[in-house]
Amino acid sequence: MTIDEIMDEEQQRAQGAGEPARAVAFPCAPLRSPDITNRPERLGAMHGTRLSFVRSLVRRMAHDNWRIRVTNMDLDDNGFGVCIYTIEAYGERYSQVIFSQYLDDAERTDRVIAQKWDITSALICGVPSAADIEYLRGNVPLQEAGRLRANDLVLCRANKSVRNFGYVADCLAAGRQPDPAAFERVGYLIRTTAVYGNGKFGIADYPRLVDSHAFNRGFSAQMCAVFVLRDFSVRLVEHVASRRNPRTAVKLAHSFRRYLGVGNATGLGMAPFLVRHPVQVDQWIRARETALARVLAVEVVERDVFERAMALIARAGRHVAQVHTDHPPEAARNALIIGELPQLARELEITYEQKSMFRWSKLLAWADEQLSCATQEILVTVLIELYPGLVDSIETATPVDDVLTLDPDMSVGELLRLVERDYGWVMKQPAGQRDDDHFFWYRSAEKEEPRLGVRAHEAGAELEQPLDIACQVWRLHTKLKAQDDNARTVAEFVAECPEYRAIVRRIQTLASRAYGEIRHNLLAQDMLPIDLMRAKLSMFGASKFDPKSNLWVRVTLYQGAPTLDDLSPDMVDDWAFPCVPGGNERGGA
Amino acid sequence: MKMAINELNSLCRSALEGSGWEQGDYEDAADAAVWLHAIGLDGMEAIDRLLGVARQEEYVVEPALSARQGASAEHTASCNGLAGCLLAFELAWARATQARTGTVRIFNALSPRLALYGLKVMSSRGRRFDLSWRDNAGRHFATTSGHDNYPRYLGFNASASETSSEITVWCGVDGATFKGITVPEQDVAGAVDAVEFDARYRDALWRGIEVDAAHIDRLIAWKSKVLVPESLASRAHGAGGADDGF
Repeated sequence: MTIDEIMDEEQQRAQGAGEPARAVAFPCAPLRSPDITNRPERLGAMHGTRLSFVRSLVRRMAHDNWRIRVTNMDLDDNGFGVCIYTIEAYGERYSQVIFSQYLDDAERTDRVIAQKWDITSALICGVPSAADIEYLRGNVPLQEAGRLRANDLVLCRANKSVRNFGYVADCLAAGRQPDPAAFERVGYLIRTTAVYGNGKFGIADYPRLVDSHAFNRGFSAQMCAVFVLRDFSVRLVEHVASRRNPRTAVKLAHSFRRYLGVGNATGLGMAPFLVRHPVQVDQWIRARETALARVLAVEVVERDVFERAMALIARAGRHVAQVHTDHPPEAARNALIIGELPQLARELEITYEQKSMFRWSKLLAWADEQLSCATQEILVTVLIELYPGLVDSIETATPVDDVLTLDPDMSVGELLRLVERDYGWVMKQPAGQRDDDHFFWYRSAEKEEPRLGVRAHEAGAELEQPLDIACQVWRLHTKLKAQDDNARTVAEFVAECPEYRAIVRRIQTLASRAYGEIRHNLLAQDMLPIDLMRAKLSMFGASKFDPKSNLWVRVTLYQGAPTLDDLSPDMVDDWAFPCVPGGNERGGA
Repeated sequence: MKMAINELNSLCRSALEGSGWEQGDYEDAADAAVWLHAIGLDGMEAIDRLLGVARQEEYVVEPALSARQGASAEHTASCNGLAGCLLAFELAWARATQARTGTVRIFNALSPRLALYGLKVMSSRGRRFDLSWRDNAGRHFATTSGHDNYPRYLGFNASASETSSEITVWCGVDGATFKGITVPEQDVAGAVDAVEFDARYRDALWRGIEVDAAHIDRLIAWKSKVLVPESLASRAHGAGGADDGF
């Protein structure tokens, strides 16, 4: 790829202060086309990067001296009760109140339709009074059936990994560390099944957090809540072990504490989010592509960077080899990656050692020709990982106005040209693909769970959600081509045809946001919801993708992340592609 | 009951969708109703007027464009969608681009107060807009210079109350010599300035919005029309998620 002179200017923010400090210009290669990045097969192969929300949040926690500590822990011998964490940052104070309760195995499900959970929690503003705790105790364990208040920021719940939690408790109670193999299969003790923010069930609206220094980035409050739950999961298992056998119980080895993340079960709800928030999708993918473009513009690759790249590729191989999945396509893809990564390492080594000037762009171009897109996306994560100084200042989740706005002045003829310019991927679809409406997306009356139906076999298609962007664009294009008066304004057009109002303003708003659309027919039979989920989860920073079907996926968040004790301004931020540690060091009693 | 803004917005959108409004219209109307409610102007009553009603709004855009064939006067058109919210302002904007000023009149407006939200949306777009609407409380006036986050509500004249609902929107580009909507100098009461609107909205954001239980029940009833009824097949195959011990 030819490096051009595009300069990517941005206001680099002073560390911790959040105020513009100085304008920095970075050389930048051309960004990859959305025709590459926004296809489902590519979205479904993404990995978290150092720009992912959990990575950038932990960096802020460490660099800006966040203080997160347990201020109250009142658990019985079985680990049931309440625990309160206090979070202090930038002069702001928040608390996370966690309730742990008995749950019969028969009631444990990851689905939205669940009614009870092992652990429920709320992240709130300030320090709770006794009355606040009582209020939360009466509502948080009910989740959707409870009511929260405008001072409450996040509502979430988690279930135990029954096998892992029980096994680890047994080991610690017996005074020994668990077998690392147990964590290779499942790298967490609990998994979240929902993490709600932005006004759900009465909690604070996101715009309120724009004034919060700690949580003004999108999803940062939710990610913080999960980070705290991760710490709680370890404290909980150690507490249970200690109560079971106070004389012999040991703490979990630090390497395990660091390796263990929080599991997450994600269903169909994430896919509609991506369609409904295209401006955010553009922001996320553009940030990632900008980071990649800066790396591709690097002219001289130092030997230590080359060596780190080799080490990261090797680590990625070990990481993928430790992903256990029963989903045949995912297992096949992982096997392909494991087979291709040595080729990538070999190519990197050979080309780096050649006398001609080495460029990352050449390696990526080679990968584009020779390797699967799954392995290419591993390479993208590695490349971004190599240059913190170039990429860490890119904000992926600053507050963004994602309102879709109609441009009333545009003529019908101009709109037609805009559609043909930006939605060529719709026009170029084969008719069979374009007209494929195999699926329909809907909300069930059962707790409003997002679901997917097969149109030919299931009732409810007349109530489908309008996620068929490709179909809407095609219908609009047909309508526009049939217009007699191309000089007519868009305002007049939508006045006459209100059914096109939503898609017209979407197209107009996304005219300068090329990464906003998922470039596929989301009703087509070959559409895999797990691809869409993976894109969003990668932006969050999830790892260990384990699809359980085409409709839901298990992942792990914060695996390999620093623990609360590790957070400090000089923390080494190096936890891409986490691998199971040996756990050989002894846990303290 | 106290609700969050986003929560109420989501409920309103679904209710309007259940009532048969198109996506663009139900999004606009819900945004409008929730904003009105947040600033203390009974947005729930405003949205009530859109639920389960026939579309009867008509509109006319002026001045007529001389370049158009037979355009000595624009004809009144009936609107299949929702004219009296954002659309009226978009039509006025487009006409003002062509003719320096644009006036849109909406007749039989379903819920005239929603137009104040349309004015709010236009408040930061750099053009002056005037708004007047009539309802059974009187004739209301509002305006924006186009350079603020919120419009100014100039008040209402109770003596001008009418049973028929009408909205007038005027837009002028810079340098337009025509005056906008004339506000009577006397008998106009209840003005609210942009600062007060901003304060009210922030208060709602920080404390939540109080919504009457009867309104919520009505919205939920309309929302239920977009939810697919439960079935065993749907439960079994429509979504994923289970516990396998891990």
